[in-house]
Amino acid sequence: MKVLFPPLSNHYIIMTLGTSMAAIFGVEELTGRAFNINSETFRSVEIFSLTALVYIVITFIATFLLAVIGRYFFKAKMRIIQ
Amino acid sequence: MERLLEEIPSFFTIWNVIFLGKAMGVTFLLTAIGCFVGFSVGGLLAIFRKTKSLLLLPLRFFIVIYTEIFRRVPFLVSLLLMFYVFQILKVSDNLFLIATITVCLIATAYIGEIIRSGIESINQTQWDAAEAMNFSYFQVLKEVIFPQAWKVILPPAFSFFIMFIKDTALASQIGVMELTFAAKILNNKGFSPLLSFGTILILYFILSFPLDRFGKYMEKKLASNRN
Repeated sequence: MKVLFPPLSNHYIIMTLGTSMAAIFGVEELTGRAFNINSETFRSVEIFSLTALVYIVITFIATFLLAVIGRYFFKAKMRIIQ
Repeated sequence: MERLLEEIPSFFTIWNVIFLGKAMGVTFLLTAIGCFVGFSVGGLLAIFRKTKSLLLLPLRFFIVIYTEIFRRVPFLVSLLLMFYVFQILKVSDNLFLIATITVCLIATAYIGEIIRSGIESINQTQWDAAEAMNFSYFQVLKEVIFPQAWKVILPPAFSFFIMFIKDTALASQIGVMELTFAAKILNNKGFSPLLSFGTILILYFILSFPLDRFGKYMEKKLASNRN
């Protein structure tokens, strides 16, 4: 588990980014909501940069929590910023 | 099934084959440019990140921020953001150019991180020993670090390249004429989705399988039994 945990948490982040693809089929998640708001207001750059910012914040929180879990439970060597 | 078999002769006309071939070329070009630029610039970023001089501190800071941001934003979002920024600044309306620039930015961030992890996997004693032999920084990298680091760099790098062939399918969202977009057009023309998307599936496989073989070959050549 000590060796396994860092790549597993890395994959979790990649999964988080991968869910944005569900927007193409019309799922109403973060990117899908951004699409909808974009088609209502046409403030494209503001909306999508805000979406990107939210994704960055979400993944930072996730990395932080995963690093804490990995360090305390599995004694894995993990850093928040590489 | 019978309908599918009936459609096959009208699907594989010479025009459709040329159409699909062109789309496949665009997908291949997008991936190839992205991987080439990503590997060269990403390698440079990784090398600069390991330097220790105080003069390059802003550069190192910039590199960290860059990789951390671009690895945390989904490809779709950054593609659309780039698309709208280009539209507002009226730089260019060439969709292929926009997709290529985004692909290069993303690939640089990811591959830079892969190469950095490869460089860091080498033990500190190797650096110290090479410095004791009075090697310069680039000599150390060329003669000591990279020959050992290829073993760690190549497998994830090639799996990333293969992932990337499939990731360029998202460029169809802004309207670049590549394989997925071609399949959508053929589907809208009235061919059955199973046929059009199945053909695309096989074409993607044709693109990615030689790359996989090439990766195996490179691993054997560059990263085989050194110990």
